[in-house]
Amino acid sequence: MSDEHTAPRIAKGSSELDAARDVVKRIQRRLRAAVVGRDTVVDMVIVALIADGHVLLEDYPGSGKTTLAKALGDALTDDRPDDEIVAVRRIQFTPDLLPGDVTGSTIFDPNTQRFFFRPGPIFAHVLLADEINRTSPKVQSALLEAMAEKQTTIDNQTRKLDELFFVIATQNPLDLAGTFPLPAAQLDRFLFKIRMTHISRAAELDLLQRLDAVQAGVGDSMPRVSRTEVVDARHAARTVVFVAPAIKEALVDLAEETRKSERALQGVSTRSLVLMIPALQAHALLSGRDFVSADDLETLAPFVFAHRLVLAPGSGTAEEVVAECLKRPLERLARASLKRA
Amino acid sequence: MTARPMLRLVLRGLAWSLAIVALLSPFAGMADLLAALTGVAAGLAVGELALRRAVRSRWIAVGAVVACLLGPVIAGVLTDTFVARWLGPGLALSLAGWAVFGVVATSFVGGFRALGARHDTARGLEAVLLAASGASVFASHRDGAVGRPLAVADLAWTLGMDPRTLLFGIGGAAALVLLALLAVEHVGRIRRTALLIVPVVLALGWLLVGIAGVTPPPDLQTQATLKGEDGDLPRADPSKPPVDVPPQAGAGAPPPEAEPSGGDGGESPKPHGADGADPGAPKPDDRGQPASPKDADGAKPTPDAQGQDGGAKPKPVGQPAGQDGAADAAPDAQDAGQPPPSADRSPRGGPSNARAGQGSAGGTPKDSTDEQRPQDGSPASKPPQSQPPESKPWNGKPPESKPSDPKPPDAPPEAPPPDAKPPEDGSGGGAPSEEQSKSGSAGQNAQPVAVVLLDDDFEPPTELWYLRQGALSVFNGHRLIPAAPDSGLDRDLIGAMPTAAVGSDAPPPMDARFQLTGSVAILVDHALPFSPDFPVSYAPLPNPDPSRFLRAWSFSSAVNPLGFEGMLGHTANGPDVSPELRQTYLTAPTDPRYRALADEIVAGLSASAAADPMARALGVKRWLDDHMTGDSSRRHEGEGDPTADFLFGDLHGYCVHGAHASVYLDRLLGIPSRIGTGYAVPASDRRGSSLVVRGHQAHAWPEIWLDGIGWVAVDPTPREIVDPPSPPLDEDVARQLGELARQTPPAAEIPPTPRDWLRELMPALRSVAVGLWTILRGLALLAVIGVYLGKVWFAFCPWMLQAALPRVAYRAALHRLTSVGLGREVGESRERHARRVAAVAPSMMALTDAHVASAFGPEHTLPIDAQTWRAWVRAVRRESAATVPWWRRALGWIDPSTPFRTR
Repeated sequence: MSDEHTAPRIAKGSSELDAARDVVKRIQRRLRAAVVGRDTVVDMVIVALIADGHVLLEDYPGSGKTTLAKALGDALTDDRPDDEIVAVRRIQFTPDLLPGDVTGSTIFDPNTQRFFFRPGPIFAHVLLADEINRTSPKVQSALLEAMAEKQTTIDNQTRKLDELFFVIATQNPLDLAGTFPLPAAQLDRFLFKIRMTHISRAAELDLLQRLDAVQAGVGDSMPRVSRTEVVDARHAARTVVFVAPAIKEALVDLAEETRKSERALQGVSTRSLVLMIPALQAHALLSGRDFVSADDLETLAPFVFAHRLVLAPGSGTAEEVVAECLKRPLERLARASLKRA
Repeated sequence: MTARPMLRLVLRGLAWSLAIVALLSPFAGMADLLAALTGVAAGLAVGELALRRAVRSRWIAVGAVVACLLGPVIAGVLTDTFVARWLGPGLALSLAGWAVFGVVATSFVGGFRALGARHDTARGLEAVLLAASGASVFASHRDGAVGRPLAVADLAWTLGMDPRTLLFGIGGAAALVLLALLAVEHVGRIRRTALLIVPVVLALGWLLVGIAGVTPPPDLQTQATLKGEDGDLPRADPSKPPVDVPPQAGAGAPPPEAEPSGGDGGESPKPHGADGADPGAPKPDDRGQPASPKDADGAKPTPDAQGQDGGAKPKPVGQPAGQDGAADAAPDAQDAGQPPPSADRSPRGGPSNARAGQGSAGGTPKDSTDEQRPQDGSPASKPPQSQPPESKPWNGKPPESKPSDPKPPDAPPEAPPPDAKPPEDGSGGGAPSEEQSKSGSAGQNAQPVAVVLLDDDFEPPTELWYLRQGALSVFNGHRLIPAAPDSGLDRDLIGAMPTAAVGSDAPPPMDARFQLTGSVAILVDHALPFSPDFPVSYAPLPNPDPSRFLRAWSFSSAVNPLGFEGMLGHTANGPDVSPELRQTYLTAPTDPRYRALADEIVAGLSASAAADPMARALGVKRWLDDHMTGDSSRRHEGEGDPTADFLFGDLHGYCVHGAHASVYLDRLLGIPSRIGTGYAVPASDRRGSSLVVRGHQAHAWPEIWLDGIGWVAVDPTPREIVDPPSPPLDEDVARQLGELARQTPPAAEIPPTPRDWLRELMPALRSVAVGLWTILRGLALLAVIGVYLGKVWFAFCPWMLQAALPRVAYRAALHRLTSVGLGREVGESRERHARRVAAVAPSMMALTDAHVASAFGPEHTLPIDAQTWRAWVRAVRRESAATVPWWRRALGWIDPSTPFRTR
């Protein structure tokens, strides 16, 4: 998202909103510096972070997923060092992984003769779940419960995760042998599924030119954000960014379009619409606005809705279907702006 | 919109419609009224829209005024520019009517509607206007425009009502409905005292009527006008414009009785030249009569009171005419097997022209205008004329009646030329003069001007129907002019369109004639009625088809079944008037050449023929038949005596010249004569009982008086005619017109049978279809205008509005970008569009952001001031102008689709 023309957009913002926008901008700057040529993905990840959603990246190996996740974790400072939650963790999913490897387990300490709980990687602000479709459904479901409820149950004991629990999951779109594809119900829990493509030639060249600098990381050259700041930004986005009734109407229209569409066997769920609202707010915040506009909807819809559709055979890609279904609500929305209030 | 506002809107439309009908009825036709009513509906819609918009009131007022002015401007463009040629005159005129009445009504009603909803002042004005429409009905009556619109007036007459009552009712009802409506709609806001406007205005109306009086109903009015005219001027005085200019007059025939007397105006195409115009040098080819330089004619008194010459010295010379020449002609007549004129019926004492007086008054000084005559005469004697006198072969068959007789005359040295016309053309040979003089094309004036329905199978023996409308009797020194109505002359003529049964004051003797009845329906306005041969009485008839005909009347005529030969042996003492008046019918120019020619003609007759007036007249006719050449291009204008210029010149001329020459010669031969004017229609044009009269058949012919018969046409029929033949009668048109004229008018319709219903329905359906088509065309035009107005509005409304700027400013910029091909695609969000066009118009981004914020943002968004909005629009314009080539921008202005593509 370009940020050149933010001046007239927010005519009157609250300090809360200003702070949230500042947070978002800081994250964005750091991530963009760290992950070259992936501005859209970076933005989506930030939106998901602010919208309290999770991201599924469908990507090839070596495309910068880990870099992205690490940069994100690096951008966050833990302003509550006393708890056991760390900034970033990564899990490489394999078929023989067990739920305890994800959530953590209770371990007997021979010294103290007591069982104590050793937290798994899930107890982190940012969790990179690599190749999530390579592990068994059992492990997947353990993770998914944590994603949905922000809690995990280990040994019949429920433990709260951090409020800022953000999962970036990846899966390889091609190498599907021996995988356990995520069922639709579980896909629904991801706010975004981002289909990444190779970065542009210029960006790739730029990356190679500045390889050393990039590998060195952003470091302290740019300000970080604290966990609390992110949580506050989430709150600000939810409460301050305005969603016009016409936008909500357009959302519902879009849902109807997908349900009516010949090309989709199953349209988007109501939950996706519910998830969409904070996403839209987050994107508006990222764009420097204090209200949700059609532009947010247009930008986010493919990432939010594409993976929730069950397509009829031979219908092309889900993104195409979403774009098609988006056309009419967007047009209505655009025309509404020219109609007198 | 809920039911009640809708009802109010409908009621308001009704009130305005009624008011418009009352206001426009004096001068608008039905089509224009329809346009105005459509305009009312459109105006209400526009007004409703306008009053809900944030348009400033003064802009509404300015817009209404501009639109009001726009209507006539559009009409002018439609009728006066190439558009008229492109559309065709009919379409252009009807569209112009729509433009004027429709647009004006739209802007008027729309403006009042929009302003009235906002300001009490405008509402009061609206009320006053509507109330005044009631009073205006009276005002219009003062102008005598009672009968408009004709449909309403006709309806009223049919219902037995006075149209004034009906029209006043319409206007008053309109005012009351609107005022009641206003009172209901704005209870508590409008003052009840405002209702006092109604009685005040109505009282004012009554008062005005009381002062000015109400003029009589239209028909009486017309008649009165006609009579008034007759009082001071001859009926056909051409210097007086026709009472009614027929709408088709451009191509149609003017009232034919105006034709032969066109000299007074000085610019009339008639052959007589202007009175008092200098005759100029005598023509070298003037035909002189070298043998007869007797200037007896000079002595001829002219009782003509109107001629400037004032030589009104009645000098009746009781010399019997033409004794000498008769002896020669008589045997010939017998040779031809015609009954010789009986001697005892020989003309005695036709108060006539004095051959005998020759010399006696030869030097009688003529007055100023006549001084040219001696000049005329003197050179006449020098050049030998092109046609030697002996070539007059015409003693062949004096009584031969039909000019069209296939038998050639006995002994003419020259056979009828091959290009001699068929009878209808030949006899009407002079007729095309009129249109020739106007348009130079013979075919152009062949439009039907009237349909005559005949109740009888009677066929005129001359094979020509002479439809007499008027007569020229008085010689004013240069030509013949109509007699003044009160002069006692030509009392047989009926001087006005019949509004009730009228009869001739001097019906002809009926011994030899019989009565022919029938009716005439005219398609082109005429000042005077006409009917075959000798009109005896007229009575008005209901118009059989008001959409085609202007008027209809029934006639009773005394037609003459006798051929020329049958009329031999009658004396010709003239009509039953005083001797002084009778002398008028014998007054001819004093130019001696006329006398010489008359003598020459009579000399060619046998003795018995020369003794008979009819035979003498036929002698004159024959001579002209043989020598005259029908040539309507020759006018003989500007001559002191056009007839002399014609007769003693190359003898090329048309009916008026032939008629004048005939009458002069007849008069010199002692036969009372005059020129009859009207139409001459070939009997072959008759289809069943109907006879279609066409414009080019306007004609003037010589008539002689025969005792016991009355006025009889003895019309020269040139054998040689150089004019192109007149177009044949269009059979379909003739048949249709006949059928239409035979229709009984709708008002008098007897209980219709189902088939009649269908037949009645067809014209109605047709008119509905035509109306719909007109509406469609009007709407199309309005749509085009509306589109371009829309473009202008889109572009400039940010400067006209204070509110709604986020919307209209953005729209103005978007419209600009759309018109240069950078519009928003369907399904594209505004921001994406702005990013797309950012390369061309970077300001669009900020404008879009602000616009979107106002559309989707929270309520508390800080307002952006108007200057900023307008600056953005200007910036977008400037930026796009810098990038987009000029022709692309020009195309954008022309492109009518941009308002629709601006989304």
